[in-house]
Amino acid sequence: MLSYNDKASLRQIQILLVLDIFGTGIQVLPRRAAEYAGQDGWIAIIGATLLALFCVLIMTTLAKKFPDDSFFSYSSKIIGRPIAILISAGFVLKIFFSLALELRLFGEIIKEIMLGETPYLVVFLGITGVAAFAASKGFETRARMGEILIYLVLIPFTILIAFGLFEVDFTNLLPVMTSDPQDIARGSLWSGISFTGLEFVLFLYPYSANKKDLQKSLLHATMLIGFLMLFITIVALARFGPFRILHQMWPVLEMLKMIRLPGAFVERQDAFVMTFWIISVFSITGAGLFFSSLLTKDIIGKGKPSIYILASLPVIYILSRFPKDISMVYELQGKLFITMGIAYLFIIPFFLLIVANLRRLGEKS
Amino acid sequence: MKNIVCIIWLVCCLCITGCWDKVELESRGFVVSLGIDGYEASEKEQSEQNKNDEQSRFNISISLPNVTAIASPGGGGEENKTVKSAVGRTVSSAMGKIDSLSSQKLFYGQTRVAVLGKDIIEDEQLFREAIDALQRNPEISKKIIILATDEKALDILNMKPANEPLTGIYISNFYENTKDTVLLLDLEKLTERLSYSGCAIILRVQLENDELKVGGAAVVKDLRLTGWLTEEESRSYLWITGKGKGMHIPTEQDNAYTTLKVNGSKSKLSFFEENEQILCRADISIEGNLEEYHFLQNALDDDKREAELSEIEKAYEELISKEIVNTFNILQNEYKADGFELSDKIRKFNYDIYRKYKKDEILDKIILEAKVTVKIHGTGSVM
Repeated sequence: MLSYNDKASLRQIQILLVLDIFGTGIQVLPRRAAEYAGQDGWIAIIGATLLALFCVLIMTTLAKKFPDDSFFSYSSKIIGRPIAILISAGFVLKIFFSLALELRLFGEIIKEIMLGETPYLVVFLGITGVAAFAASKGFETRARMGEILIYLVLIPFTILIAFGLFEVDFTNLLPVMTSDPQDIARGSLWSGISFTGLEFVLFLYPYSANKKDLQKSLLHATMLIGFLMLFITIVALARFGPFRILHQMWPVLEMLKMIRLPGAFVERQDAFVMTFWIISVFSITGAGLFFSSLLTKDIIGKGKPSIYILASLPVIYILSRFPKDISMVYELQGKLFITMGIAYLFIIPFFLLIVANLRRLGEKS
Repeated sequence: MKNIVCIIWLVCCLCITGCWDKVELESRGFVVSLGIDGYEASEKEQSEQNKNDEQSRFNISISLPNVTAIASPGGGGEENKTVKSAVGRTVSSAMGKIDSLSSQKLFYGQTRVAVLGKDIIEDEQLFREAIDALQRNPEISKKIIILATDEKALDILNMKPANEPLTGIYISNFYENTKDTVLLLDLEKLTERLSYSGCAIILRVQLENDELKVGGAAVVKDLRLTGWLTEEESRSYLWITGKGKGMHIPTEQDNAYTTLKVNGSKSKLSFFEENEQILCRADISIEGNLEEYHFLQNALDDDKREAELSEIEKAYEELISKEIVNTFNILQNEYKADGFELSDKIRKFNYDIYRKYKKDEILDKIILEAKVTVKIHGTGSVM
């Protein structure tokens, strides 16, 4: 076990990446995929996973050229400090927007399912307070926590979904491959929203104890996430069919609510499911706060990350109150993904990689 | 200093425990069944409503268990249930009004049954609104059983089934015990069928001689009632979907009645295109036991016995096959409703045929042919 050097093992980094992505996006992913590709929505998820793998490949190829540098540091070396400041500030904003929308969605679902009378601010403070404390303790703390949390999130979640397999009708996935390839491609692109958090790959190299194998590990982690998303989408599509799923606000949550557990003494397993999800949102919030504070510290050039974490909370809260309702949250998530999301997942890393190669900067692969 | 910080933290932890949304168990009213009726105000009521500027359209009734009466022997002279109802312009507003009539906070998470009254299923708009309100309500499980009645849902809820504490629990238990022998339709399946084709077959509940009778079905097309199926007619749906285990089928054979108890059934649908018509072949195989025949008239000779059984099997094959085709013809010609969900099956299994026709045309193009095979495996304790 590594200790107090702010470095994490490959396994820990893989776990963190899985936890950071496994958030609210999963709840609506099957609906989004079915919106474009109908019963072929699961093919769109395969497409989205391939796109995500390509983005990870680009981001890791760039980051491993500067294995000990932070994102701000290597982008300053590549394109100069002024533009690096602009890009990093944009990145901070993007993280704030993502977190705000994620937390708002989380608050709405909590209100709908569990705590109808609890004010949103209390839910917000509850989750961000703990996440901010964890984030202020550094990367290593998050990595160790991830090792515990992964067992509390993924394993029970997967088991519960597997129980759902007993009540699904796989003929709902028929006919196969009848959707327009363009629709499937569009579905793949939009399903990419669920991979929000993947851009944190750009920050991970300095924290890895084994930089040599990190790229491969991150690709494996992305494949695992893609596989989980595919599994969930197939089960949800088979459960609801391509027509009814379109009317579901949170298809995955709805599906989990309807699963009959053996023994059947637990009737409201949605509350049970919320436990896993609270942990996952805690992890995503922690990651967002941690990386945004590092970026802010790099841009300003002084101060402690914990101060920036605290300062960011009111900003995120105000941003999260901006959408009128859940539909607006989804709309804004879409807009954020298609603009800043794609920019930081692919366009900016690709641009930086090309400039670094042209200027022969960084270590050779 | 460390100790003081520690104490402050602990006090903070104590302060944030507990639940903002807690409702004590005794303050919660568990709604077991829900009835939705249409509402037409009398003249006097109308004039009163005009004053309030609200025109009620729904009459919602709920049935709550009286736990004390159910738990105590003899019920202590109290009724086992309380039925409350209220009217409102929308389903939710009426539900809200009932909430205000009760000292308890109503909870719909344990609701087992929703009964749709005649006025609701006959009116497309009211039906749409009622189903929408049910599926939007996060407390209501998508597994609640949906029933249709040609009477008032309130009367069904008011009915007290003999030796059963509550209507909702009676129907839900009845369903659990006979789920393969009656049409199983919960809110999830209903919304699935309605969102695909606007058609559904909903199990019927009736009042008969001060008892509840569950059987037959309402046929819904374009989100409104188009007709009713009898118990025998609605049975065809079970054959087509490969269900029916546990069902008892009586028939006449050689001037006597026999009963077949179904142990299992399988159904395979194949579709072919012929002369711009879609031929649907339903291969249905049924296994069962003969539970009744005429006393002392069964053949003891093996060959004769086999011939006799074979004749009975044929009689059942003919009966069931006729039953299926007859029901399909009623659905196709009278009700114009795809109650057997054949167009969805064509879409799934024969997409090439499906895409040649418009969705609305498919039902008219189908010719159903039922090939039923019945195998009698046992004849009870006698030869």
